[in-house]
Amino acid sequence: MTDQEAQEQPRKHTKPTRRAWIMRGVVTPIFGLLAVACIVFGVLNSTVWKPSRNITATAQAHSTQYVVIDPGVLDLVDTAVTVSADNGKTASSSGTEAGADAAEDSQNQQTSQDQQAQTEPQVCMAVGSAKDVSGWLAGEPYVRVTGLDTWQTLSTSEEQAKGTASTSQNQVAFADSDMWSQVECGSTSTTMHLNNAQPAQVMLIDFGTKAPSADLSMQWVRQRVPDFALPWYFGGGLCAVLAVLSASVFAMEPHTRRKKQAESAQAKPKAAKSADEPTIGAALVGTFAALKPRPKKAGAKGSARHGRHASAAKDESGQQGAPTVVDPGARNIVAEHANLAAGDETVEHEAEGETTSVISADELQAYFARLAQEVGAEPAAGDEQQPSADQSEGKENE
Amino acid sequence: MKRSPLAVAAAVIALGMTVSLAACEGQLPTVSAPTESASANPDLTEDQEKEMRAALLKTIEDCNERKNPANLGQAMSGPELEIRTSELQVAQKTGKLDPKTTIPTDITQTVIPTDNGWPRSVFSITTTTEDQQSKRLLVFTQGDARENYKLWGVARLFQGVEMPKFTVPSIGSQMGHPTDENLVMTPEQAVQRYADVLQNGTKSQYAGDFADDYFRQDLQNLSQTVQQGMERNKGSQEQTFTPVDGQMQIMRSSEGGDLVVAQINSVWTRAAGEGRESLPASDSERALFGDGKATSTMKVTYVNVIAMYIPPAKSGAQITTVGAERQPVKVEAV
Repeated sequence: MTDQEAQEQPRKHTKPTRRAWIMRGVVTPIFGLLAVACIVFGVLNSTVWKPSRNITATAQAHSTQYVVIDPGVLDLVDTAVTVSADNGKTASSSGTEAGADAAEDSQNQQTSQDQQAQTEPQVCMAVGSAKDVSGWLAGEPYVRVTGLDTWQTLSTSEEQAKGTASTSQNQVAFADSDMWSQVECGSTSTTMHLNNAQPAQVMLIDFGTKAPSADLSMQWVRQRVPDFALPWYFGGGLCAVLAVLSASVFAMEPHTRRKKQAESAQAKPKAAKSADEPTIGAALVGTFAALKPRPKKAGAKGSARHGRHASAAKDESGQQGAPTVVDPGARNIVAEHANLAAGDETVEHEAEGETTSVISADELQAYFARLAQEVGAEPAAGDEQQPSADQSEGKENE
Repeated sequence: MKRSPLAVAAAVIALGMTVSLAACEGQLPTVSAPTESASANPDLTEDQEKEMRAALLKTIEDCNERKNPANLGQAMSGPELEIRTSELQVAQKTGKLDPKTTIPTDITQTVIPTDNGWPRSVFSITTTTEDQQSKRLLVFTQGDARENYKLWGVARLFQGVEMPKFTVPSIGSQMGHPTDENLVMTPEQAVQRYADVLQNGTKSQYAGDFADDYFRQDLQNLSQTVQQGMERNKGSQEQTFTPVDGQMQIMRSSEGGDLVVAQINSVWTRAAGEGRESLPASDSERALFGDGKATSTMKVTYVNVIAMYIPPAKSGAQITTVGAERQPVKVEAV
């Protein structure tokens, strides 16, 4: 039996862990159900609950002759709009729509005016610019359509136009004005369809006389319908992925997962592993400790650097026998000066330490001879070196 | 570890609910505040101008054919109504309409302002007529929001005259103001002074402010000829020019100057000497005078329509008259 087999043997027969049981037994079914629910909702949203393309909003205006549809309302939902107005009276015999054009011959103005005077007041609607409409309405009360309250109702407000009503002798009938780009008239109701309504366009509806309760409806056919199904499909997909993950990856013990990822299959004791890895708490404490301002030593700003230099000098003196690692950054000029002052011997000493060439027998002999000589002088040099290092340390501590 | 997928699930559900509960039809659109550019739209589109002009010209054409000025009021106002009424009265007598009354139906240019208030005006320049008469400057005005545009004035542009440039009608021009100080003189002053120049000729103190023009020359020539005739029989003649208040339409050109079309009425009084009768001086006057009893003095009232370009103040240039129309409207023996 190899090590590996011995290791896998107990895992085969162990019961699923509590974690795996919860993940596979509880979380996965939840996600699965959510995924199914999302997709069902998505399908519903793209079929029976699909937003309607046809938007029809209505409003009622009471005892008003004029209704104005604000700029920006005609093209609120779509540029194609159909506006209908009804003065609330039952349609008289004909009910035919007498279309009048802004380009009506001025010669016929008189006749059409006469006709209007003779017949029942007509319902007319015209498209024009805001300034022309307010000019026509000067001094008159009117009902303003300001937008949509809901998808079914138009928001309206009652207004009084500024200015004074025209007293001109040459007034023309509403339908005959040069200012309108499009005019439609009918006996009790009329409808106008605009294919390409502009934001600046305003519609003015004239009921002829004060209509006790006039009905107004605007109908748009939306070219772009909001897609509510897609977010559901997306959510459903996400839930499905999460269900799969919670049945597989999330069901494993975290350390097992990580171990698999690790290159070595060797199982390290958990304790050893966690001992290597600092806990999150410890890491946080460490981070904050590093961030905390250290109590400053009294003295110069660069004291920390000086201190490091001083200790480097100590190391140098302590590791005389070992091969010296030359670190130009750790060079301590103060200590070197002190060494220089201590005499040639130390300089030689240092030079020797640096020598790494092969030592011949003669040189070895000479070395031993010198060593014997120096045994007596060593303590003196050491005494001299030590205070110099202390001196540098003492300096920075001041 | 267990919480994070649950939290994700909760977030997904929350998101889904928010979207679904927001509205079944989507978010309700709101009306955005109207932009400034909306009010700077031209008063009429070119198509509307064409329709309006065609309708007016058709009415005028009908009146011309019937030689009856009764319906002219539907299509005309201001000086042109007086002029065309007189022209039709003359035509009733002479049997044919003066060729100068022709108004071509095609235009070379239209100037449409963006002004908000009323009265508004639109300037259009026609093509030359079929018999190669010069172009006509048509001035349409709308007095009130509840009125329609009417042909207010027609000036025959002088041959080869250079017209100021105007902003294209799709962008729209600005109407000028009678007391605009940014011109070499205000339009009001210009019309006053031009009337003085017409009356006094080169002797007028303002003669130097106005470039020489055909209208002025013709008037002077006519005046001199009549003067010579009058002097032979010891008669006298006097012509006074008076601008008509409020009858002035102004359009700002893209160069900063104003094109002004104004009505100047003139009264020509001719007194014959030595007990002679003073008679009408032209076919038009004769037609208007009809069978009236001539006396020693004849007073003829003319309606003149003058189109002049007033350059901006900093240019220091002379005012140029670019077109004019003149028609006797009343001939009386006093």
